[in-house]
Formats: sequence, structure tokens, C-alpha cells
Amino acid sequence: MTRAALARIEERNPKFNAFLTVTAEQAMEAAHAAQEAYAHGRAGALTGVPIAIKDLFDTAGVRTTAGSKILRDRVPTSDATAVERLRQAGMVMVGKTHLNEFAMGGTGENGHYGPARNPWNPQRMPGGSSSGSAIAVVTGMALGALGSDTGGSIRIPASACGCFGLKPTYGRVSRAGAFPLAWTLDHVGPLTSTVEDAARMLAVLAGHDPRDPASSRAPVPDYLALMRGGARDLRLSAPTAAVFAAMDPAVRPVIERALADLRPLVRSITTANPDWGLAEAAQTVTSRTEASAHHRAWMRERPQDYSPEILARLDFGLLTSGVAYAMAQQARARLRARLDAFWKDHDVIITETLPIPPPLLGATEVEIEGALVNANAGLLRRTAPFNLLGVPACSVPAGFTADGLPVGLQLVAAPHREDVLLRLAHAYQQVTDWHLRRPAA
Amino acid sequence: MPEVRVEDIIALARLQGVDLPRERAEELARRYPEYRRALEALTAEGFGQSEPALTFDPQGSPSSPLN
Repeated sequence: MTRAALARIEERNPKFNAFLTVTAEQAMEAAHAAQEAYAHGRAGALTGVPIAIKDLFDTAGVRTTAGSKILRDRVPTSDATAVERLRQAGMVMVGKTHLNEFAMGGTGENGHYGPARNPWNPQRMPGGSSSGSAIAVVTGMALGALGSDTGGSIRIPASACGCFGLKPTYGRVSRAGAFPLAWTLDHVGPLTSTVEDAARMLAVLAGHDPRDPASSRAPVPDYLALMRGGARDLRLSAPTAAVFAAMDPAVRPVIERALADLRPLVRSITTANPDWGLAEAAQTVTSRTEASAHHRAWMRERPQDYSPEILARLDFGLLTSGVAYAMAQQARARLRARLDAFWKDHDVIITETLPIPPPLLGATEVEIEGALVNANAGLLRRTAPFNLLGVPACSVPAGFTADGLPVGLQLVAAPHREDVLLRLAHAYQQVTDWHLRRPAA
Repeated sequence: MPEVRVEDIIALARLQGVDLPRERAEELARRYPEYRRALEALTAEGFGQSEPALTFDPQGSPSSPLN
């Protein structure tokens, strides 16, 4: 498996720019160790599985750039907790994957390392910021990948590239050793082809970590067993007519068909949606100010080492008042109360992950509902509210546009109900094969 | 909300202890209308003096949205 993954990386990475660092030698050592482990009956949950790690996570002895110029030569001496747990489970790390600079963006572009490219159409964005992780999975350069998600950075590239991506509940997976973007919005999770593989990775990753002050002490259930429980009891909330009307015409029929495929699998589908009101505004203000707080010293001492786009976003954080930040937290609390009430009668909220097909590389604006909006904001529109609220959400491959671009279906559940997402997404993958499709080599 | 000039942005940054070069301030001024929409949306909502109050749980992470 490892040799095959490394061969694919050598062949395909120059085209897609999924990896910033390839750890071939280390991977082969880990693969040999995996063989020994199997021979002696010591195999773990992920022994011998080639895994790609987003270059936001510390990996001992392997440079960790966070997609930045500032950290271009940084070599950590210890692993991030998530990496440590994957290693303990026997993973073979094949390399560190491409991301937006400091994970700030949903496009998969990077001013220092070049853009990553969508494996279905290399002229298109792969989505971000976990761009390389999604590409690696879809092109067979890895069997699973680790990503992070602050506004959609696991789900956006999963949707744009055609794989499964899970953002668990806030605090479910430790962020220790991952370079922060926004402390109250950062989540960590897996990208895989199948829901089953994601459940395996989540079982390894989840659990309390004293190194992460937001780490949840909630017990870790048997995700694999729960995943197989079927979806017949689930009550779904589907997009309203207005939300459908706002989708790009290329995306809309794919989501409609996905809902038709889900209908026989579940208890009910209604179109009552919570009012998301200020979610986008609150997420933007929260994200920019928290990021700026973290980057403040570098912004002062070495602003020239940031890409202009990233520096501008951080500058906005500096200019946002504390009053605006407090009001964003009030909006957050109000939305949470609204959602808490909603879960009494619904188990899953369904949306499209991206309201548009993956844009062309370099696009700064996209058209949504007949209006031009900032490309990055457009990509985050449906995903960001669930970072603000800390609830688990995933993107599952749901089909392709007429032009052959992947479309993802976003599923959202109540806090610590990853089991509900896994059950529904797994049931969906038993009746569809979108997750098995691969781009032409 | 009044229009924001480049000089306003430079002055606001200075209040935050940041000496913002004019070039960066001009870039922010160019992008500001989009960011202003987020700020206007929040301030227009008119949260009441007590609704909803922000809370702090001394037993847990103060920043966790799930507390």
C-alpha cells in the first residue's frame, strides 16, 4: 500500500500540488514496522494505512510550514496530539499536505507555495484550506487524511474534490500542536473516501487531551458499531425553496437527487430550517479578531512575509472593536439557543456544502443569487455557521455537475451526535457510489 | 454607518498601537464595504441590554461555544 501511495505521489503531485513535503523514507520505515506488527499480531486500527497530514499539524522532525513563508523552515520536535494518536494506531505518514496560508481561506490557493489543483479539473479550485488532504484521498495518494476546519476547511475541499470530510463537535478531537487560526472556531477531523474509514480515524483521534483547553471529556462511543445502525429513525430538515433557488443551477439538481435517494432511508424529511440570521457576520468577526490576536506580533514585525490577501484579512481583525466582538458572541448564543430548540424535532440538517461548483483558480468573485460576492465568502457560506455553533457537520459526495465537477451534501447534527452523521452518511453510501468515483489518471 | 476614509483606518490602527502603512490602509479601505456589511448586520440587530447575556463557566473553557 505504501509503495503504491508513494508511486502515485511521485506521478501525480507535480500536477496537483497536494503535498508540500513527502516523507518517503519515513513512510517506508513505518510500512516495514507495520509488516512486523501484523506478523506478531500487534496491528492497530490503522496499521500500515498511508495517511496524509495537513501541514498545519506539528510532526516531529518534519518541517511544518502552516502554508506560510514565516514558518517555512520550522521543524517541530514533537507531534501534534492528533498525529501522535494516528501514529500510535499504526498509520504510515506519507507526507504533509498543501493548505491555504495559515489555513486562512476556502480556495486551496497559496501565495507562497502555489495553488493546489482540483483533480477533476486542474483549472479549478480544490477548495481549502485542507486542499492537499482532499486531493490526496481522491487521487489515491493516501487512504485517509487529517484536516482542520475553522469555517469549512474540511468540508469545502471534501465537496470540491469528491471525498468524505467530517468536522466533529468542537473539542471532540484535540487541536494541541495544530497552528491555531481562531481558538473558538477551530476543529480537527478526517477526510476519507468512505464513511467507514472516517469512523475508524475518528475513533483513533477522539478523546480528552489535557494539552487542549477546549478538549471535551465526553466519552468516546464505538463509532464503527454505531455507524451501522441505519437511518430509519432520523428526521431530516432539507433546504427550503428559497435556499434551493439560491443554489447554482449546476448544483441544484444534484442536491435534489440526493434528497430523493435519502427519502427511503429515513423517517421523515421536512423543510423547516432554523433562521441563520447573523451566523455569517458573527463568524467573520469572530474569526478575524481571534486570528489577528494570534498573529499580532508578526503583523507588526514582518508584515512583508504575509500574502497581501491574508494580511488584509488580519488587518480587519485589528480594526474590529471589542464591542463588535462581544455582539458577535451574543449572536452566537442566540443562534445556539435557536438550534437547541430545533433539535427537539429534527435530527439532521441538510444543506449543499457549496452553493456553487468549484470556481476557476484565481477567481476573486463568484456569482450567488445573481450577485457577485467575494469568492472566499461564497465558498464558506453554508459551512461557517456550524463552526460558530460547534456542532458536528460533514460533507458526503452526492454527485457531479453536468461538467463533471463534484458536489457535496452537508449533514449537520446536534453536539456530540457524530453517530447520527455517520449512520446517515453510511446508509447513503450503501445506495450510491459517488464516493467510489475517481478522476481520470 | 458613515463612509470610512483611508485616514480613518490609519487613525483607528494607531489607537490599537499599530502603525499601519498607507498602502495597507488603502487596501483595507478598498475592501472595507464588504467587511462593513458584517459589522452593520451585528449592530443593526439591536441586542437588548440583557439578551442574550454572555456567560462564563469557571468550571470549563470560557471560550467553548458548547458551555
